[in-house]
Amino acid sequence: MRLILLTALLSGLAQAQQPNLQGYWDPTIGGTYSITDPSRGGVGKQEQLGVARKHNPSRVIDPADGQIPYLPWAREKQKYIQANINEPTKQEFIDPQARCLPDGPIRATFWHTVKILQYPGYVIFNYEGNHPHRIVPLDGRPALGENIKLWMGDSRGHWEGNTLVIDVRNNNSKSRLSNVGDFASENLHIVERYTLVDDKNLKYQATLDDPTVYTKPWTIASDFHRVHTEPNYEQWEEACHEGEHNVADSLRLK
Amino acid sequence: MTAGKLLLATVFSASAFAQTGKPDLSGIWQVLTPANFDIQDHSAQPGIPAGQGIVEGNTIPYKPEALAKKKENFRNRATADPETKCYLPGVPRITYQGLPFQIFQNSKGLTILYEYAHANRDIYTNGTPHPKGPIEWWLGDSRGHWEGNTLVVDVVHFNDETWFDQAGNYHSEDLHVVEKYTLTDPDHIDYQVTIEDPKVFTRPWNIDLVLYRRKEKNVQLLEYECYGFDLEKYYP
Repeated sequence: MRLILLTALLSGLAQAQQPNLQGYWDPTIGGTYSITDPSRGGVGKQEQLGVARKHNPSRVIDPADGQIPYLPWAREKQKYIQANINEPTKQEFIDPQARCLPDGPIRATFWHTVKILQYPGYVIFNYEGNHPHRIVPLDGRPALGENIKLWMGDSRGHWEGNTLVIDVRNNNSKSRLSNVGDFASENLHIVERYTLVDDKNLKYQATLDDPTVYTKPWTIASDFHRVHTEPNYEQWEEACHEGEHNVADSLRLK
Repeated sequence: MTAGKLLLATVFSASAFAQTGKPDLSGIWQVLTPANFDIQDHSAQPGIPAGQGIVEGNTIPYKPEALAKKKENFRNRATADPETKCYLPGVPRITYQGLPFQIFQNSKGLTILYEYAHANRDIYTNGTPHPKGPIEWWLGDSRGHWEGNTLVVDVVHFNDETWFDQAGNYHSEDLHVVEKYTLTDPDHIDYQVTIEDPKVFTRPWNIDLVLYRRKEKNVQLLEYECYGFDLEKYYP
C-alpha cells in the first residue's frame, strides 16, 4: 500500500514538472503550400500570373539536399497532383484541405496557430485551422490496434528532459502533406520532437518514415514562437466545413 | 538565461495540477439514450430504437407558429437535418448525439473534446463574461462556474442552423442553454439542461439525462470525421 502511494506521489510529481508548452505557437515561416519551398497559400495563382515571390528554405533538413526522398512512382504521383492542383478538372485534384478535411499531424502544425494544453497525463493539441485535435497520452499505454486508421494519427508521448517526443502511428494519410501534392501512405510512422528552448521559443522536428513511399526516412524542422501571450486570450470557434464553398465554386467554373 | 531560471520559467507550478477542490469530471463519457433520434418519447422505426424522451414532462412548449415549423422540419428531416450535412451539431445535441467525448479539467477550466468531427469546447471558469454579441457560433460561447458540486455552464451566441435531434426540434439564434454537470458517483454524471428561446418557446424547458463513464481497458477517443460527399470515390 505504501509503495502504491509512493508511486502515485512520484507520478504526480512527474506530471507537475512537465515543461510548460501551454499556449499558442506559430512557426517562423507558416503555411502549407510546400514543404520544400514553404509559403502561405495563394502561391499557385501568383505563379500563374507571373508574380515574383520570395522563396524560403526547405523545411527538410535530412536529406541534405532538402528534397523529399520519394520512390520513383511516388515522385511521379506527386508531380501529377501538383500539375493539376491550380486548375482542378476533377474532384480528386482538389486539395483535401480545401474541403476542410483534417490536415494530418504534420500539415496541421504549419497551417494556422497551434494551441497546446497540458492536463495530468496528457498533452492536447488544438489546431486552429479546421479545428482538428490530437490527444497525446503520456502514461505509456499500449499502441492502438493497427487496423484503426485516423486522420490525425494515434499519438503516444513521453518527455526527454525539455523535449516532448511523440510517436505517431495509425495515420490514414488521406490528407496531403502540402498543397503541391506531397503525400504518404497508411504505413507512415512519424516521430515528432518539441523542444522548449526557453519560455517563448520551441524547436520542432519530425521524422517521417514510410518505406512504401520514400527511399529512406526524412526529417523536417522549424522554429516556433509563442503568440497571443495576453493573459486572457481565447481561441474562438473555427467552423470550416460549415461555410465551405471553394469546391463547388471551383468546379462550377470549369 | 541560467539553467535555474529556465527551469523556473518552463516548469509548471505545482499548483496548476493541485487539487481543484471540485469534483473531477475528467474522463471519457457517453450517453445511452437514443435521444439524438428524437428527444421526446418515440416508438421504434426501422433503424431507430424506441426511446423514452429526455424532455421533462415530454412536452416542448413551442409557440403555435414554431410548432408548425417543427412539423415541417420533421417531414423534411431526411435532408433538412443539419447533421446530414455534417455540420457542428450545437449544444446540448453534441452531448447526446451518441459518440463519446473526453473532459479534461484543471483549476483554470475545462476542455471537452468530442469524437464527432473533432469538435471542441473550452469552458472557461475564470469568471470572464461572454464576449459582447451579436456572435453566431455553432457551439456557442461557454462560461462555467461551480455551484457546490455542480458545474454550471452558461452557453449563448448560437446560430439558428442546428437542431436538437433528427426529429426536427429546433431553436433560433436567441437560444440560451444552461448545462448542469453533477457527478453522482465516480462513473455517472447527471446532466440537466435548461433551454430558453423566447422566439420559439413560450417558456424555458428542461432536459435530464445521464452520462456514463467509459471504462473499457485502454479505451480512448477515436475519430468520426464526417463528410457530406463520396470521399472514397474521389480520394481512394
